[in-house]
Amino acid sequence: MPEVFNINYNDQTVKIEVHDINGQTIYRAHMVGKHPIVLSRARNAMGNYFWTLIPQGDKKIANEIGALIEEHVKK
Amino acid sequence: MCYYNGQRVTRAEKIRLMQLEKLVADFDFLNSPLQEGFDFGPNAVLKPISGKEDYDIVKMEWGFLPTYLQNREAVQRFRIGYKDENGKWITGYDTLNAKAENLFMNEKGKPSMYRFAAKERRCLVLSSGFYEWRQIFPKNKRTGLPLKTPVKYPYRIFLPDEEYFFMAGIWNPWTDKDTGEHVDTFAITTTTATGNILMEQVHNSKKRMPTILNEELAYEWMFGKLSDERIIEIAKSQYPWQKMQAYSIAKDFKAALDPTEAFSYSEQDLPPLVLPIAA
Repeated sequence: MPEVFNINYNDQTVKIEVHDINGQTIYRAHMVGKHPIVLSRARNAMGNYFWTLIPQGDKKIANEIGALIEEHVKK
Repeated sequence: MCYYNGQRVTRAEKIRLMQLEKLVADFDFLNSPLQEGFDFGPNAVLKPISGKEDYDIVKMEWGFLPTYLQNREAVQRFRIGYKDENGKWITGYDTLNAKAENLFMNEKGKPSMYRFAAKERRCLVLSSGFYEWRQIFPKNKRTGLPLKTPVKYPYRIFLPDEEYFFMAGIWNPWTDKDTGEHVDTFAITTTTATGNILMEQVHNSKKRMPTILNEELAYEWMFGKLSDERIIEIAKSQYPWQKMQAYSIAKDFKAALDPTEAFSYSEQDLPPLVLPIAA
């Protein structure tokens, strides 16, 4: 069973599953009425981390949900 | 210069992310605690390999899509409904399930959208349990008469002797003509629950249940060269209630960390199921 936790995004509960694929962590977010999306952290050319969808997609959602995941993980 | 999702990244990072995309696409989707399909998400399906009595376990999208749908926008309209140019609401189609008796002819007596799939593209949907809603009409406190609006309580139904079991399905490939996205989509066939003492109490509004197949029927459903009559006969088959169990779960189970967790309601709100002792 994958590790699972919930976050609150736009007043909706979003279930997050944490998976390890070949040593890389991905987060699968289940939003009601939508396809699950996959997020991961990546590093830009300046060496800074950013959140992205896998495959590439809505940057706003990646940033917002990524920040909530980070907040949960840091707790 | 390489970019990924609008950010400038090194070539090595770009390659890593592209590899991660492939890994995610092949991801072990069986490793999921909830196979419920309300979100039209991916499910594990046994799909016959053409020309062989063998199968692949593949990922398919729950919610049968006819080939003619142009793109995801059309899919959304097809599933949810839309207002036409005169402002009239056109109801969407629920293609999560296909009634056994309507596989070849729909309820209006016209050829069914499922007929070619029933004939040529049958599959098995792998499940560890499914969910149905039981409707209870609470009594008016003053008059003692049942209220008009029922309260719905979700149940999880499973086979205690089987970790996984097969539900009969039909599938159809679908391509988004705008983006090239390709998915295989499926519907689970359903049969009447009347006569199945457990399911007719749980799914007491529609009295339907998925077609659960034993090993023998599952093999025939996937690989048999079947007449239309036999296809309907198998799709209508009813799994014995003695081999099934059901328990109530929380109303917000879809958001729960463990959606399969039992949840008890007061007997006044939700009377227990009445089942004879199995012989």
